[in-house]
Order: sequence, then C-alpha cells, then structure tokens
Amino acid sequence: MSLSEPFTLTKLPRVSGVKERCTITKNSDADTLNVGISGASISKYILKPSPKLAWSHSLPPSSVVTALDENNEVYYAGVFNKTKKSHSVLVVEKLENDSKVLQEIELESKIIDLKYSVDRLYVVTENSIISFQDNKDKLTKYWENKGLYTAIYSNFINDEVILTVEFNAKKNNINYRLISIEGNEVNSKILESKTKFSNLRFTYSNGTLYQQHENIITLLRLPHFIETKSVDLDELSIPFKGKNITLASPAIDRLIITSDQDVYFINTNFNIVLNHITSPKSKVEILFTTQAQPKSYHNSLFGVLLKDNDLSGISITLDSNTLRDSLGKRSSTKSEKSAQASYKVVPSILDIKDEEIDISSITKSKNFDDALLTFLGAENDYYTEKDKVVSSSFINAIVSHIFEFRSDKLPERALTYLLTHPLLPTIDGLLDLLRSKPRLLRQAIVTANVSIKELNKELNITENDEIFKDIITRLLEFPKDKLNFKDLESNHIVERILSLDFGYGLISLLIDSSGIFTWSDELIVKLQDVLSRKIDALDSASNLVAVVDQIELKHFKTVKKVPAYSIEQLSI
Amino acid sequence: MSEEYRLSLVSGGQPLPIGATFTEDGRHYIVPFNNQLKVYFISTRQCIRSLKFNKLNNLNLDNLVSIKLDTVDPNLIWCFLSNGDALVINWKEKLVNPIIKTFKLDLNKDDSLLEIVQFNNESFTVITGKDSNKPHTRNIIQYTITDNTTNTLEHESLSIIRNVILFTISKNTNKLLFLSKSKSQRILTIVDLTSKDSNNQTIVFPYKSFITSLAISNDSTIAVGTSSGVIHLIYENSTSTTRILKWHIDQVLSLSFHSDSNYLISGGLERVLVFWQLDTEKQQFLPRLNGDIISINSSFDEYISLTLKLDEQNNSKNYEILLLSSLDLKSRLSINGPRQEFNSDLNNVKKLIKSMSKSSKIDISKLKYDFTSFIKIHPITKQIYIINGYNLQIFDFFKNEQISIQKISESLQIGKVRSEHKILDPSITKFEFTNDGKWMATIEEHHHGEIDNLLSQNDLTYILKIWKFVESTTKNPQSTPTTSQSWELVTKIINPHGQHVPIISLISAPSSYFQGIGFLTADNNGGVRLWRSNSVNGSNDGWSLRKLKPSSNVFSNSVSLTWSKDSSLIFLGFEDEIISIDTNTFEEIENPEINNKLQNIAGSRIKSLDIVDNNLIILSKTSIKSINLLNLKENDLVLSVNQPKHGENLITINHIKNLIAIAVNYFNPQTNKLNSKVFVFKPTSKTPIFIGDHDDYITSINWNFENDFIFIDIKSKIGLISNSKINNIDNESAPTIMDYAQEMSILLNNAQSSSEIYKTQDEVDDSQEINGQTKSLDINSFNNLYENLNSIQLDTLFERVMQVIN
Repeated sequence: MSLSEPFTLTKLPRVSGVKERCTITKNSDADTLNVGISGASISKYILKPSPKLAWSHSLPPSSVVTALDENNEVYYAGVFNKTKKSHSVLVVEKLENDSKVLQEIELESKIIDLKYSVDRLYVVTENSIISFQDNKDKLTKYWENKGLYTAIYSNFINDEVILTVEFNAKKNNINYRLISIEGNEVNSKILESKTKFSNLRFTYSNGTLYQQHENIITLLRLPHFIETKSVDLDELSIPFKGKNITLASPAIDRLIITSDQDVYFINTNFNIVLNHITSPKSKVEILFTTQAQPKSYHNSLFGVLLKDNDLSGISITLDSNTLRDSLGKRSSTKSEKSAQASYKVVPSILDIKDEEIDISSITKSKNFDDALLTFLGAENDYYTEKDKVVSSSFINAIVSHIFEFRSDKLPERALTYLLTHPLLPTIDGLLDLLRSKPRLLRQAIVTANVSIKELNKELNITENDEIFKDIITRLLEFPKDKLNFKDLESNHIVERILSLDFGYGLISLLIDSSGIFTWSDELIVKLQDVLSRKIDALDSASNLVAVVDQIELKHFKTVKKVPAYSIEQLSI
Repeated sequence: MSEEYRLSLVSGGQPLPIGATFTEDGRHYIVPFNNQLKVYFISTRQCIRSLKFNKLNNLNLDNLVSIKLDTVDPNLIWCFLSNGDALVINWKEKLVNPIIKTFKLDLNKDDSLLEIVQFNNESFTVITGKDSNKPHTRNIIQYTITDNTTNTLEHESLSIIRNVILFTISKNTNKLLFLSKSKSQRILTIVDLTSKDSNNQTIVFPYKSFITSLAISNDSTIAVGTSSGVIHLIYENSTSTTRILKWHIDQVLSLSFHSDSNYLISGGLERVLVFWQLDTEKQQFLPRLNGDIISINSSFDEYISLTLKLDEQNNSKNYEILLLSSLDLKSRLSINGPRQEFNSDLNNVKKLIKSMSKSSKIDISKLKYDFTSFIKIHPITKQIYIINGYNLQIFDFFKNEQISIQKISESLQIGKVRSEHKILDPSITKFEFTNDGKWMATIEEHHHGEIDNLLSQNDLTYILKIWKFVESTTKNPQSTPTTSQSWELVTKIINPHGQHVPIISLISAPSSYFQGIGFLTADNNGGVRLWRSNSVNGSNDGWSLRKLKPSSNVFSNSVSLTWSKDSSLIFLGFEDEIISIDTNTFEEIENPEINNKLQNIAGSRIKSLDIVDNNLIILSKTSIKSINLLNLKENDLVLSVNQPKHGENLITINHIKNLIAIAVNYFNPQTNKLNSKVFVFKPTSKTPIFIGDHDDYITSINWNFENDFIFIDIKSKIGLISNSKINNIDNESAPTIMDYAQEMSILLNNAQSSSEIYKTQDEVDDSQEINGQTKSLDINSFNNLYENLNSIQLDTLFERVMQVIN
C-alpha cells in the first residue's frame, strides 16, 4: 500500500502549448513501454533491467499524439497536426532497425481512442463517431450519435465492448454508452445534472468508471452506470481548486490521483489515502498503470508518471483492500477537527439530547480537583461504574490540560481519579511525568495503561520497595508472549526480588527470556539456597497432607453414599 | 421518519395452566393464553381462530379461574377471573369488541373466586376464599342472575367449611370434597350439592403423610394422593378401611376419576400418567411426557386433557396443554408457547418492583436483575431458536407454533424424583448459525453434580458441537412430499479450550471467509480459537481447530467477539479492552497507535461488539458507543445505558441496512411496572430513527435477516419492529450482487441476438444500420429512465425514452 519515489525513465523534448504530451498503449507493462510522444516520436522502451530505448519512429514537431495502440509490432496512432489542423490515423510498422509507415488515414475529428482488435482497427473520434477499418484505405462509420454530443472519453473493454462518454455542454448532459464491437448498443444512460460540468476527467478499471468533477469523484458501475459511491476530495484533504487533476485506477477500489506536484494513492472503498508522495517543484500527471489481477493480494504494480519533462516510473504496492489494512488510516477532516473543540454531554438513552460541556468552567476553576470530581459525579477519589459517563474526547482534553498547564502543580485528587478511569488515554512517558508524586506514580503503575518498556525502566530505577512490588505484579499480568526484558538489569532485579522475598514469578520469566549466564555466581548460589528452602518446605507440607488424609480415612466417614432410590425413606 | 417503522405484537404467548375447554360439539378446543384465546380444530390439529388481546379490545385473562360455555349461544364463553370479574366473550365471530358483556360477582373482602362448580346462564355455584396455600375458610355460594339487562345478581351461601387446604369437585359437579386441618387432625368433608341436608359427611384422615392431591368420584369414592407417592382410596360407607395404591415414588400432583369411577388416573413428578383399573388393580402407563403432570381433566369423555409443567429451572411458568384421546391414549393436541430460559429467577420480578417503588431517587433503567434470554433466528428458515436446558426449542414465528425440539445433549428422559434432582442436566450456554444456515455450533456445560460426592463435583465440562442442517424430502405416493428438517451432529469437541475453561463468546465467520463456514470461540482468559470444516464443500468430514490465539493470564467474564465483513480483522472485547486480531496471522496487530486507542475507548466492561459499515459498535456496562474504525474516533452515537449483565441479548444489528436496534428496560414509577423501549439507530448518529414503546420487559431482540427486528418479552409475547415502507432494496441490490462480467455478457448477448434477428428480418433496409434497431427491450430497459427523475427536464426524458427504444 505504498508508492515508491518516481524514477526517471526518459526525458521528453520541450514542446510548448500541448496538453497531450504523451500517450501510452494499454498493452504496456512493467517490462516494455510503448509511448507516443507529441512532437517527437512513437517509441518502444525496454524497462528491465534498466530503461532503454528499443525502437522509435520520429514524428514532425507539429504532430500531437492523441491516441496510440500497438499490435504485433504495428503501431496505430491518432495524430493531430497542429499546423495543418488535420487529424489522421498513422499506422507504422516496426522493423528491425527502422520503421515503415504503412498508411495514413485522414479523419474529420480528433481521435479520442483507438484499438486494433481481431484484424480490425476501431477508432473513436470526438464527434461521437465510431468507425472501423474494413479495407486498407478507408474507415467505415458504424455508429454515429447525431446530436450535440462530443465524445470526451472512450475505453475499449475486454476487446469486445467500447465505452464512450459523450458530453453536451449546452444542455449539460452526460451520455454514457456501451457499444459492442459489432456495432450494437449494449447499454446507455443519460445523466442530467444541475451542477455545471466542466473539465471532467475519467478513468476506467474492472467494471467501474471513475468520473472526477471538481472535488467529487463519482464511481459508476458498468454496465448499468449505477452510481455506487462518491468520494469527496475535500474529505481526503486533497487540494483540487486550480490544480491539474489526473486519475488512474490500478485495481478495484483503488485510485491514483495527481494534483499538481502531489500523487495520492487512495482506497475508494474505505475513503482513505493509503499513501501520498510529493515531487517538489514539478507538476505530475499519472499516465498509465498496470492492472492488478482481481482477487490477488499484495500485488506489486507499475505506473508511469509525467513529471515535468520526465517520463517517470513508479512502483505501486497494493493494499489488501481490507479493514485490517485500513484501520485508523483516515485522517480527520477540517469539519471533524472543528467539532472536536466542543465536548458533548453523553445523554442517557432514555433522554437523548444534544448538549455541550463547558469545559472551561472546569479547567479555569480555582479548585480544579473539586470541579472535576463534582462534574463527573464521583463519590470517591477513584472511578466506579456509577460515575457519570463521559466521552473519551472529554477525558483526553482534561488530561492534556493537566499536563500542559498544571504540570508544575499536579492536581492530585483529579489525577488519582483519572488514573483509575478506563478512558484514560495512553500517555507517553506517564511515569516520568508523575515521578515527583510517588502516590500518583504507584496509582499509574497499578491502574493506568503503561507500556512494558516504561515499567521496565521504572523497575530499574525505582528505590521504593512498594513501587518495585507493584511493578512486578503489574508485569506478571501481561501475557507472557508480550513481555520483553531486553532493557532490564536482571542481575540487580533478581537480587532485589530475593531480598524482598516477593515476585519469584518474574525470575522464571527472566530466565526464560535471557538465561542465567550473565548473572553472578554469588547470585545463583543465593537463588539456589532460596529454592532448596522452598522445596524442603513443600516436601514437608505434602507429607503432612498425606498424613492428615490417612487419619481422615481411618477415623471419619466423610463420604456418605446417597442411593438414587431409597425405599426405606418412604413412610406411609 | 418514525412513521417508517412500527412496533407490533404479533405472536408468541404462553398457554395458561387452567381454563382450556371444549366447545359444545366437542370438535373445538378453546385454550386461553396470556395474550390471546386460541381455538383449535381437534381433528386437524390446527389453530383456526386466535383472538388476540390488545389495547383495543382491552382483554386480559390474567388470574383466570375458569371458562364456561354459554348454555344458549354456542359462540359465547364466560370467563371468570379470580377478582370476581366475569366476561362474556364471543370466540367465533370476528368482532371489533368481542366482549359481549361484563359483570362482577360480589365477594367478601380479601376473598377471591377459586372455582366455578356448577354453571348455567341463570345461576352458578362457586367456591370463594382467600387465595393462599395456608388453611383458610372456603365458602360455597350460589349466584343467580335476576335481571339479565342490568346484570343484577343475588347470592346465597350454601355452605362454609373452615381451615381448608385443598378441595376438589366430582365429575358430575354434585359432590365437593374439602380437606381441612384442625389442630393436628386432617378432615375430609364431602358436600353434596343435591341434598338439602346441611350435615356434611366428614372422614378423619388417619395417616401422617402430606396430602398433595384429591379426587372424588360421582359415587363418593375418595382418592387422596400424598407426597410419598402413595394413593389412598376411601370408600363412602367404609370409613375405616382404605385401599392403598402404590406406584408413584414422589408427590402425586394430580388425580382424577374417569367416567364410571372404575378408573383412577394419577400423575406426578415422574412424568408418567398412570391408569388404575380399580376393580382389578391393573395398571397402565403412559410414560415420557414432557413435564410434571399438574392437572388432569377428564370431564369430557372422549378426551383426557393434561396440564404439564415444563421446566424446572428458574421457576419459569411454562405449561403444555396435552389433549389425549381416551380410546387410544394418543396425543391429539399439544399446545405450548416459546420456552425461554431467563438469566434470573422470575420470582425476582416482584422483589425488583418492590425495591424500585420504595426508593424515591432512582435511576429507572438500572435494574438489579437480568431477565434476558438467549434467542437466535435461523437465517434461512427464519424460525426462532430458544435455549431450553439441554434442548433447543424451534419456534415458528409465523405459524406461532413450536415446530420441534432439537435435543442437543443426552440426558434423563424421565421426570426426576427425590435424590435424582441432584443430577444436573447439561445446559446449552451459546449457539450460533453460519450465515448460510447450514451449520450450527452449540456450546454446552456439563455439571458433574454432587450425586457421587466427589471432589470434582463443582467441575464443569464444556462441549462444542457442530451440527449440520439436513433437509430430507420424503415422497409419499398418497400425499404431497413433505420436507423434514433436522440437525445432525457432525463434530463433538470436549473442552475445546482446555479443561475447566469456559467459552464465553461464539460467533460465525463472515461469508467472505471460506463461504462463512467457520466458527470463532473465545474463552474467559482471552484465548480465541477458529474452527473450520475439513472440507470446503461441507461434506461430513468433521470440523477441526484451525487457528488459535493463546490465552493471557487474566480472567474476565466480559468477553465478546466480532469479525469484519471482509474477514480481515477480528475484534476481541476483553473486560474493557478491545484487542484487534489479524485473521491471517491470528496474532494481535502490533501497532501501538491502534492498540492504545482501542484499549482506552470502551469505558467499562464490554458486553457486545459488532461492526456496522466500518464502525465498531461497543455496548459496555455503562454506554453504547460507535467508533469509526477508519479514524478510531467516537462517532456522535455515544449514549449512557444501564444494560443488564447479558446486555448482548438486547442489542442487534441489521447488517443489510446497517441499523442498530437496542432494547432498554426500565421501571415505570407511575404504573409500578417494568416497561421497555426499543431504539433504532444509524451507526453515526445518536438521534434514533425510531423509538418504540412496549409495556413489558423485553428479554431478547434479534434481526430477522430481512428488514425487521423481532423481540420477545418476559411473558413470551413476540413482537415485530417492521419497516412499513415497502422496500425496493431488492431491486437495487440485485444488479450489484450479480457479477459485473456476467451481467455484461448477458447484455452483450442480448444486443447481439437482437441485431441478428433484425438483420435476418430486414436485410434490404440498411439505412438504419448505423444506429440500427439493435436492442431488445426487457424489464430492466427502462430502469435508468427514472433515476433522479424529479430534477429532470422533459426533453431529456424524451431523449432517454428514445434511447431505450431506438
């Protein structure tokens, strides 16, 4: 679920005033790349082991490549000639060390997309005409939408269906259409919207058409073009205003968005940004990505970025598109952040109301301890389940207030209460913060959520025997596989355990984790003494138990057999 | 908003132990329930009419004493309640108000109506007295209706018998037998209503044993059942000599003379109905009845009707009315209701109300006892499964009938007597179905009991059983094929989490995980185990342990589990912490940021966890809250609650529409009763989309895998929270469920085939070839037309239509 830093594949020539700097065929992959570079060439690059130009056919500086396809080393390019203002399909064959122009077919309108499939070349042009080449020189129209629609996007799906998106700027209607390559309309849909569309962008992958307009990316599910979801770029904190946005979808529910110099990798299912990279000073566009195989996890994919004048490669590691990979990944939006400044009362379910807590009346109170405990309805100085239910954000705010503004004079009662509260957030270095107050320190060790690392550290340095015991008790509550005694001075600790005669459980764990080889002989002898004393005590105790059992068996009938049916007890 | 949902009581209810009666012609059987009157047609065993009690007809038969048939109009019945109220009800016709008339019998202070001895439309003889187990005075009073329009009654006391413990009536209703206690003597008094002689015959009962039941025949033969199981027969003219009938070995709970006094029928805790032929002393037995026989009624010659008390646990008042044919002793009707096992003794309801009404400053939702019960709905058949000891009762909500009892564990089939009560039956603690409804997991607890007085007497054995749903169709040439459904045991695992380790939580796998054929169990020290079938296609290969997360050394009884829909994550609620487990590695996710947040978010002991649309819904002891799992922050839905110990029974999730329903029981200080409310929430908002009121304690609420929530209350009434709006969710979801590629190929084929038809039909005219008529119309063709219709211009609509048909 990450994007690598872009690496340069090749430099592009400087061409001014052209939107379509280059076009990449859909059959490109992580090994070979077929690129049509406006004003320069149609080229084939071999990317592995290191990118190098394999073949190229040069184009005049006035030509703009608007579409490109490759089949069996024959290149089909949609070319716009800037000087002649003419559109044409250029067919070039790759030869060993040269190229050969097979033909050039003039067309009336800009070529949006083209595809060579099963002996035929299919061409979609801006004037909503789909045509195919049935003889060598001429294209035949087989579908035409006579209207005011302009084709703005097209994509060939699985070599059998052509997806086109047409737009009527006057009526502000979008017409989505699926046409089979035989020329039959499979499905279509007209969308009329009140919002004025302009600068629409599309990308298609695995049955979903992604449509971006300003901050909204709409997911349309084929073949019925049902709007399944929409993603708000605002919520993802992706800037879009005045930015050049480009899209590509490498896999189901995943989208790569570029916004000027930023590249975002987002998951549309969970609405989260998986990764984000920035290339300072240069604007980036995503041109192409390889497609993930459906149902395979942790795919590594390849994408091509246009970065100023560089054609850059980027490797994309997919997430598993599961909740597990998305847990906690969503950053809070602006509206959520502003909402956090207020703290709401948690009402009873039988009396639901929306009320806010005036937190300043507590934080600014002269007697902070009393104000807080009264507000929380605490009967004691520790938490019980009878106390007032509050939200965790409220507790967070109070705790951060204490350590921010009252750290020099910690409010002892309030903190004692908070340290026993189950909503107390995990605070880094809590024990350090409380060291000045041994009572609170002990409270924190016993009840608060303190990491093993911090406990170990405290165990090393504490001089107070009671605290030492508390830490050991607390450590023994952790599951064994989580315990880690790397930074523990075991020699010293074991000595102390022996002298206090408390916490032998920790010794066995210490031996399990690091062994006894680092311990001094003296210590081991001491330990042995203690152990043999304990074994002797156990031995004599078990002897005693056996004796008592024998006596009991001889003298008392403790077990009285009760029959299931006792006729004797029946009385008439 | 709220009109979309509706709360209604639709089904369930418990049969009352007394009052069931035959109609005049003997073809119908009228059975009073606590929420309705049901009329069964005996020969087809079907319920043909049910008269539900609701707020509209204001019917309520609590404290019913007897139902008598009107002697003139066969459509009317007279229901007598213990407070003296009498209701005349039309049971047959569907009327808005089925109560024809009501009147009240005058009773002495503190007295209640105990029995109706003789009845006709003009006059009736009743027994009244204080309703208590201790010796009290019983009055025999005859009421006569003097004016039918004003319901004026005159009454005349026929007889008064003091210190009565028990009484009974002979079959011809002429003779009454009273057992009274004076000092140390017990006296049997026979009252003959036919004779005007006020000197009642008395017999001193000479034996010491405790008398539990009485019967008197038409010719004054007396049968006395005792707690030791012996039945004494006392004949009218030989007061000193008695005959003794011995078979029962524990209390004789019920006795009845049959027809010509030659037969005595007795029943008790053995759950065996015993027929004594008095002349020959031959016995006949009908064993293995479902419950303790507490009453036998043979007043209608053709049938014997029995009232069985079903469950011994928790004082639940579940009865079965069993109707046997007198000829072949075969069961004609067996009537019962849902049999819940409450988490707390129902006797505590009174205690609770008393303590709640006493204290002035109370939290009305903080109830000391937990009366909830564990119930689940089968995802496919939609039948309700109710834990009942070691059985699962399968109850059909639509038919309002028990379908069957699934025996989960071996146990004693007979009624327990004497020291046998010390043998504890195994009990089911949890069960769960897979999403496809084909598998069920049950967890049961076996008590070793004190019977052998062993050291292990307090030990428990836990057993996990996996069952397969078997549907078999039996083809009968005469009739239509009948499908029988049952569960077949596939795997039994003893102590699945090790010895003495109880399993606290059990859930099934989401459908995305091996088709959902898997179960997850969690124990009381945080161990989690995953069980899966050994074969993917689910043949009878058995199940085994696949993955496990080891236990910690801390114990808790608040353990809950939930599994994300995409199966990638498992959340374990343990005490007040939430632990996230990766399904693949089955280890805790090592991400301090996530763990720290999840550890400190619940606020109190967690009762239930569930995931709704990437939100984690946490029901804890003090609150219900929803956490957005993507940013790990609390949603708006944070409310304080006081749910009972097993609060997980009172919350359920509609996973199709992502709605949460929670039932909250509270004490209503105005009425001094336990009431409840049901809230339906969306996961992100604390403003409920529906609040429903119910006037009883709700014990369990469940989602029915469609649009509705089903709840059951403490009186076993079943209610429904339904969405009244007819839902188009099926239309919407159908296309998305289908695979995209599949759909596309269907459309492609359609397009191609229609264009081919077009070509063959009209090859000449190829002017339209370009935009040719190449599309066939079907139901889905115009679907897109209606999208955002309200904002559309007319010519766009035209354009759309043209597009479709062109």
